[in-house]
Amino acid sequence: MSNTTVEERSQNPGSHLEEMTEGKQTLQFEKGERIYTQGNPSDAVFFIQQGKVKVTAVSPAGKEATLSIHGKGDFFGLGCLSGLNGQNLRVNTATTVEPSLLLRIEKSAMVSALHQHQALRRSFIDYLLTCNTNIQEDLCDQLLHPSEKRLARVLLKLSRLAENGDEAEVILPRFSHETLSEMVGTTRSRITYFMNKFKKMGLVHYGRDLVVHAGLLAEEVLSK
Amino acid sequence: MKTIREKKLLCFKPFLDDIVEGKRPLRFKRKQRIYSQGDPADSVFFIEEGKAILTVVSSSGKEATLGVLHPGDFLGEGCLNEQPFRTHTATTWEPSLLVRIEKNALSQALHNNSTLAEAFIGQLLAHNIQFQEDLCAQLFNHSEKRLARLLLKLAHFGEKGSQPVKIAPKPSHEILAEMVGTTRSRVNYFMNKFKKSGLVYYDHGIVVHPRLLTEVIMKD
Repeated sequence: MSNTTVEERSQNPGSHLEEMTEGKQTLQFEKGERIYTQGNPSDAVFFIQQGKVKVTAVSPAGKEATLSIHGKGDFFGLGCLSGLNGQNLRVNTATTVEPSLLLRIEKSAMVSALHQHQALRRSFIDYLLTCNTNIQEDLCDQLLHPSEKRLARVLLKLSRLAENGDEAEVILPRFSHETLSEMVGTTRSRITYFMNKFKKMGLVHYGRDLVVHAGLLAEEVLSK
Repeated sequence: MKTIREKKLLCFKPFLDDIVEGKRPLRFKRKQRIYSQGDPADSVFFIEEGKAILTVVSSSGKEATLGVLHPGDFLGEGCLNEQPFRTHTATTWEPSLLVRIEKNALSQALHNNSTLAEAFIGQLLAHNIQFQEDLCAQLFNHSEKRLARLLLKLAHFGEKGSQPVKIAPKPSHEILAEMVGTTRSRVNYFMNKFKKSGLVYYDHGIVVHPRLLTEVIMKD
């Protein structure tokens, strides 16, 4: 692996994690199971092999917000790796949103793997750059856009994580309006109002699941 | 005792000195544009002295500030990840000394030098945490707390212990409003409130008292 050139696109870090032999453990989670909780000691990072995980935080006043949803090939719980900000405790909570297969990697194992494997280091840098771009977009969205557009963006983001994410109609598990409101940063009643509006416009419809017409939604709501 | 920022500067400086090609130091005046949203992204900047702020403009013309960067920070690193255009605008806040490093030169250096790559990962993680905190603040806090948080951030609070710190040059209420994501009149209102409570005062800049943290941010 070490003779790859810098010009080549790096692979997902996941393929390099297989070489790790110690400090690594595969864990199976049911849907809705807590992986770690805000305030827990922060001593491992997680990598998603299968499934989806949401990361939420609770403010001192008890308000809850969903910060991100991660899918296959994503890391979460990376805070413990940062030397400068040295987070010893989890600052957020991670919960599975569907049955998931996760790789739990001890902080020290991850640090030494990053130290030893050049290919892992490179793909991890790429991964973090992408993460930071995404979170920067979320922050822009929060600062610049009204809640209707933010809801449309959240739905599109969830669509991209879905199995058939590249099709015109994407099927999502039914997130409650409460969960959506936490992700958008608005009230549940606003979500109900906008979801009804989107339904009337033919941009989403409910069956057993939630169906999102991703292309139309982007066209009708985001580009206005 | 070295501050975190000084340590950060020292942790990258030797490696940047090792890069011989594709690098040049640039002096910027205060409030000078480093790059603009939409520009082709082909280089990364490293702050040796000074401060830079990152802003974005929406398609409807609304403006917001994403963050403040200090000595030891990189900016514009998104281009390392095939990002073809700048997604935000970077402007100096005060006279600054930056090092402009070609994308390929930095890529190569990260590839060849494991210590640099590890330090760089550390910075990316730190930025990631910072953005996540900002996102939380935006989702949780009302504009008064967000303004208090911003003032402490601009004042570089935490570096100099519990002494009042001055933010100079003095930012206009308009800029503060953009940075907080609220209106100018709300900023006026809260700044007057902070002034009356002795938490800030004006003196060729804004002097910020650390009590802002305990009396505004940590209060429910």
